[in-house]
Amino acid sequence: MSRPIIFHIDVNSAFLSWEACYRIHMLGESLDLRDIPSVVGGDQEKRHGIVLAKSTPAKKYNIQTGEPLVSAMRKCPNLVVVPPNYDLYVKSSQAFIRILKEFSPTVEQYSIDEAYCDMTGTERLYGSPIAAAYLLKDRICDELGFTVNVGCSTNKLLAKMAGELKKPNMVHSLFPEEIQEKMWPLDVRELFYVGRATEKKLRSLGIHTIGELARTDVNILKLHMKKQGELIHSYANGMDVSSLHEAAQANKGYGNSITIPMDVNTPESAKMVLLSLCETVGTRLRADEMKASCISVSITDCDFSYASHQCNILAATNVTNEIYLTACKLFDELWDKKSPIRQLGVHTSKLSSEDFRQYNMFDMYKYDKLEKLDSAIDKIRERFGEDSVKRACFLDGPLDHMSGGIDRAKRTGITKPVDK
Amino acid sequence: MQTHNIPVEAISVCNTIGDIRPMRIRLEDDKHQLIVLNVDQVIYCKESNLSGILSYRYGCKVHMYGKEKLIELMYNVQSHKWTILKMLT
Repeated sequence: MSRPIIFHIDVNSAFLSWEACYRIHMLGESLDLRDIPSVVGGDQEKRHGIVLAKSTPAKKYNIQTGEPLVSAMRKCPNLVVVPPNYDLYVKSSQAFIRILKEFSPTVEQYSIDEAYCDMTGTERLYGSPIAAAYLLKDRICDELGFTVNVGCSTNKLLAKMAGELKKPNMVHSLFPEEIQEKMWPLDVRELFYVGRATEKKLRSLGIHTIGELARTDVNILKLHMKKQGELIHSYANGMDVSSLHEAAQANKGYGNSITIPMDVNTPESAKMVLLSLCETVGTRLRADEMKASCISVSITDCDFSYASHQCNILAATNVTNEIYLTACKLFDELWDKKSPIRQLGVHTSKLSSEDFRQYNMFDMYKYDKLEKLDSAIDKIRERFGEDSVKRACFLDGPLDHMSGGIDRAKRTGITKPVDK
Repeated sequence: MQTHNIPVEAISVCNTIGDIRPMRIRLEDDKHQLIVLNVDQVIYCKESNLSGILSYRYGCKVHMYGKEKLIELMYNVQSHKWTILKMLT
């Protein structure tokens, strides 16, 4: 049997490409955002002003994704900043995945702009893997108007590493026989799974390139980095046994956080934010028929220092009120009551899908009734919209009664693969 | 050729197999007058899925102020909006 062929397809500067493409082809603009220093940036007034995507010319100014817009503007005063348009990005992503599904029977959507395709056994259909990759890349460019990088190899890791080699609009192969020539000279930071902390540890061990990592004794790495050391050692040697997951994997936890438009100084207003976050988290848990027994609260203060606190509860729950009360307890224990809060988050984990509940003698609430109430509210919101029922405390306030990490505008398709 | 993005009102016709063809459009001219243009001929029709947005682009001959002009009309399938995308002067 022939060896497996895996493609990794990644949209070049996804949000910016989609935006540029829309402006040129749908709005008739002549200026291509991809050719000038430009970024897609969040709303500065709401303090979401970070770089979400950047063009290739912007990269030359050392502008990084995730850095504040203010600092990006300082690096390049002529920088063009455009606001995000999430509906468009979801549509572009759906069209992108649709083309991939026409090409390959097995497609794993890795994120909104990245996917893996299993192209094993398609040689007679499309020719050699490289020819097929060019066919796919050119079709996406002709049909949808944006460029992609395609990485070809025999497993997911090598395909991803190949896709990252040189951008934009390129096809690269990184078959096992090419590892030594193409992957080993790269900086160790380029390896998948090597983040800032791991990079630091590796450098302190005198490991600077992927090749050096591959040739290091795995026991030394295990000693310093435990299981991760073993993993990155096998990655550096091009070994990856993970298979393509067509269906989305189940969540390990549900959480939402929000950067509040203005710093919060009082526990009352912080708890309002917590309630709105719990409302969203609870709704998401119930929608997937899950219950969580570990709840955590995180705080980022105005100096960007981060703290979190978590606790286990006796019985797994998805009742908004119960999550909220636990979150309040955690918040009171965590916050020093002085530092202004910039960001708050509520996260739940240790999930179970049991539909029974373990009662205990000290239960203060009639959870059955609360569960019924929540499910009635969910049904009303599903039918008549999210704003059809809201708690009275949110009526006149500036806060959305269901806030959370996923903005309303980008609730579909951004964090979960798009099926359509 | 100039590129434009002028939203227009349109009268179109659908045939029995579902093809759409523009017949007449109405737009505001430079003097802020509403003008009506008859589509004399549809030269081409292309389906486009650029940016993942399904649209149809029609190359049309129209008469404007006594002169024949070639315009590209776009029909956005999802939003049902007609737009003049390009105008050959």
